[in-house]
Amino acid sequence: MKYVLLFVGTREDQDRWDEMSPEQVQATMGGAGEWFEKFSRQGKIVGGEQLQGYKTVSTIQGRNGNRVVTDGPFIESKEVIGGFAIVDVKDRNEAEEMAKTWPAGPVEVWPVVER
Amino acid sequence: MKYVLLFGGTMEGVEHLEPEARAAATADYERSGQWFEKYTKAGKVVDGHELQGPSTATTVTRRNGKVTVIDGPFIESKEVIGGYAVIEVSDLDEALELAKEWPGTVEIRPIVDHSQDRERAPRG
Repeated sequence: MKYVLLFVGTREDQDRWDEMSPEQVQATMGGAGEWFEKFSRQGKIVGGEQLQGYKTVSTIQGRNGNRVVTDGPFIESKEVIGGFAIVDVKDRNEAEEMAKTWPAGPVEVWPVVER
Repeated sequence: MKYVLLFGGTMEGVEHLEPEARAAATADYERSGQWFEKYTKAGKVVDGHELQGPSTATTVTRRNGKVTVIDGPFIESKEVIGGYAVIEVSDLDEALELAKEWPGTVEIRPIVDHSQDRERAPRG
């Protein structure tokens, strides 16, 4: 079964990372790279991306013919999505076990619609 | 350049809508399927999934080594993400053009390119 793990954090977290040097980022977030490598090697991670900060986001909304582009995420919240991984595991329990070992903040576990 | 499109909205609870709103949601849903087909065929969509409804989401948090599992999304909002697509396009303008054809709300985010530096860790 496929699940999407959404890695989330606050806007303040993101602002802090944006100010860090590459060395500081590595020291703080190095575990996240190792996590990705470990589960990719095991074939559990079948896709994933790290997203650029929330300040780089555009949102399109409105009906056809009247589509409007605005800056920033459409979900108005202090929390933002920093990245995601698509995992292929046997059940929700395994997806949650993986999420528990993510070293860098909260994780949302979403089942995908299988086609 | 790669961008991630996050799609707002969900089909969860659509059966409780008024007939007119339900018909509109169903029509949009069909158009979103056609969007995926068109841009996958064109090689613009390189990955993507529809997510099941927010009632099926679980959140795992860890504070000071203590792991907690709770039901529902972490991000508390009336808006939800219903799916996403990873697209490969020449620039933000092209990403915007694709997004404008999507029948609902779309958030466009550039990805952090790790293909050149295997050393840098993803952050989440």
